[in-house]
Amino acid sequence: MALLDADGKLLHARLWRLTQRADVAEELMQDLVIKLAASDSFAQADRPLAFALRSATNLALDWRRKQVRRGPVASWSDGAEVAGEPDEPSARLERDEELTQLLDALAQMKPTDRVVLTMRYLEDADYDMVGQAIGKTADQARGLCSKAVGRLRKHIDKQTPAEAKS
Amino acid sequence: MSDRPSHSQPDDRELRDTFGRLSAMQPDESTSQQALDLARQALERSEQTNTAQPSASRDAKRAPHFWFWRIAMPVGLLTTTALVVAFLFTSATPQAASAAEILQRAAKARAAFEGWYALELCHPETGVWHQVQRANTAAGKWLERDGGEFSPAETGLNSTDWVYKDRPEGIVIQYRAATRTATLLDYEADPGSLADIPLDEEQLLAWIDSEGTYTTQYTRKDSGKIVIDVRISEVSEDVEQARTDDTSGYPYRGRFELDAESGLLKEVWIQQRREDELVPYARVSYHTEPIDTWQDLVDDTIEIDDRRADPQARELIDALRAVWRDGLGFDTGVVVERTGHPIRGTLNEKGRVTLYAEREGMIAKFKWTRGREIPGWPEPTLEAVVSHLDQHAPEVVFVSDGQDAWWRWGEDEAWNQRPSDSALISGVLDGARLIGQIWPSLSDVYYDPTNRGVQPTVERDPKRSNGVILKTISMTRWEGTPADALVVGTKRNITFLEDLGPYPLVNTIERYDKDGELWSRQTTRFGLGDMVMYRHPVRVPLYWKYTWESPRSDTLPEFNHLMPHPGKQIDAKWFTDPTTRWPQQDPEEPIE
Repeated sequence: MALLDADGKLLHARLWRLTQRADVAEELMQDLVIKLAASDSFAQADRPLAFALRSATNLALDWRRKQVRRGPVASWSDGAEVAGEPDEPSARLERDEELTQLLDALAQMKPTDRVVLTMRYLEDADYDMVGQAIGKTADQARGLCSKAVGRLRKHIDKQTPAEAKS
Repeated sequence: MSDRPSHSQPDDRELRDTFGRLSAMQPDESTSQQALDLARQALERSEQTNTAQPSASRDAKRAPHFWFWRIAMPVGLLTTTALVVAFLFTSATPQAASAAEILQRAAKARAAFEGWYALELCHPETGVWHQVQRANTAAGKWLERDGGEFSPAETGLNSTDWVYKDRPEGIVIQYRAATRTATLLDYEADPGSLADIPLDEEQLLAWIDSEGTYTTQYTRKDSGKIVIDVRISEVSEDVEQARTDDTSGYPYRGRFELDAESGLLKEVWIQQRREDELVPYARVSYHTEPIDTWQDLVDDTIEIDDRRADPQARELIDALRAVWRDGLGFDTGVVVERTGHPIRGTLNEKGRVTLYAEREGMIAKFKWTRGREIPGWPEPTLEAVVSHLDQHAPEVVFVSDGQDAWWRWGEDEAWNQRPSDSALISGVLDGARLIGQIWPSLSDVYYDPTNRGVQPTVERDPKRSNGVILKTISMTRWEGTPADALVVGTKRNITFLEDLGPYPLVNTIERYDKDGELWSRQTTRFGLGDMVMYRHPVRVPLYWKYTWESPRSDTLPEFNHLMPHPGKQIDAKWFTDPTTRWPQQDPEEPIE
């Protein structure tokens, strides 16, 4: 698959970031390429990479949602450069907590919300691109994104601490 | 991204910061490459078998394990396939050992392998040895590492400081720095998983017998080896179905090779696609000596690559490490208050309160993200916070005795059953389930040797006679990523005051896109006027200001404060609104 050669690392990075687990990302990567290879929608997609990234996001967040239901999701905050707080260990833990809360909240959201949020914030896509990906205009995408952010906040706020374990 | 939102809602910035951290994290090259290689193989297998099912792909990776897992890890790792086949064990082959010989050899073997052994698994198609499981047969413990989980090289810590501890309840991997020890991995023992692992001939034959699935074709001895070839007794419908489901094939045949001298299992071979093709599947090595350090558990090829070519940078980073590893204790209880400032948005409308406490040599930190629930908000008394601690489990608990540290997140029912606040610290240890451990090093954030692009240098601060600037540049390209928005390089400058610690004064991170254009700048300016002096010689500022800037959005300052309370008693009113302390203008220089 040409996509695997051209954008495999990008797709794997997406899985790795959202799962925070190298072993899981490795397995989901296999799932992803096989799913895509068997997908007529992917074969007909105007923007295959965007399609693949969406699929990767959903795979990773579905995995995460299952893990949240089961219990704590282990992760390591390796390699992330973060500034703004004293870099003491407890500060690192707090950052990890925020990250975990965000990922767990994302995992609970509807697929469309996941798409617009990850495109907008992870890929830094503009509203035109977000709109294209979900079949909407840029203005509609902007509105959806705003609402999705609101829902994300609510998810984060109502997350029980048990779900935010890491 | 011309229509990047203005982020007039401060919550957007906070969310974006967290997303930004997520974006900045990336797997190392070898991890990515291995994942892509496996994905290609899975895809090829899928195309060959025309059974493009995701579950099949994953099973395909694991399928070669199936046969051996039933031997090596008979408890719980795999469901039993319905293979009810009559067992025909041809022990009467001319080369078969006598019962006495087997018993004698087994006794010898047991004596030899009462210690650690390592089981390595090989991918049958790639021939890559990729997984290591280690077990202690005498103690009934095991440890598994698949290469991607953990290694000293990934931490950037000195590999000689890794400590392996063998405990009754499991295995602990720790990092030791000066007098401190941080626990990083803690494996619980699962003695049951070891009970039936057949490592010598007697056990192996007994297992085959009990399994009732395979027929031993013959047993023979030749130069230094005992070879036991096994074949599935009957290709039933269930076997065929299992073989079909596992796209890489369900082995009809396999081979065990044992060392004739010790009688111990050394290698396992399994059938691949063709019936006459056997490929390596597993190998076992034995250690009579205990494993002393983590280095015994990792590949010999792993090296710590110290790329700190600049002597001054090396000196500064070493000083930082020494400072942060010397101790973690607080002298005083303090509260960090991050809420109440008008620029903060709804995410923090519930308020955040963190209580630091020290009692009887223990230090603890408790954090609530629903601080407004505490009576008296935004000026609760210390008594109110302690009382809140009795009734409401903090979202974050951090406890240290100066040697080890623990943390946990989340509610715990046991917490609410604590008898009283008189056991503030010990109650945490006794009543709450503590999981996780402190990460021991600050300086790894400044210097990450696994990032091969980082080259730290130190320069004199032209503005301050006692200032030095640690500069690092990290260039990491994300191949295949589109357009202009993604960060491909990071510059980080940290200004330290030499005579205070070293004390970080200004911390700036600039991120650049592929065209070299500034993507964002994060600046943290630490206050100089008031500091907390901890037991170790680290000075922590009481005030700091964090600014996030980007050509794509507004600049949003954030004010923080840390409040120490030496000698404060219960009932003391200790809270101060940070907004009354901070000027609203944006100071260019650190707060003096």
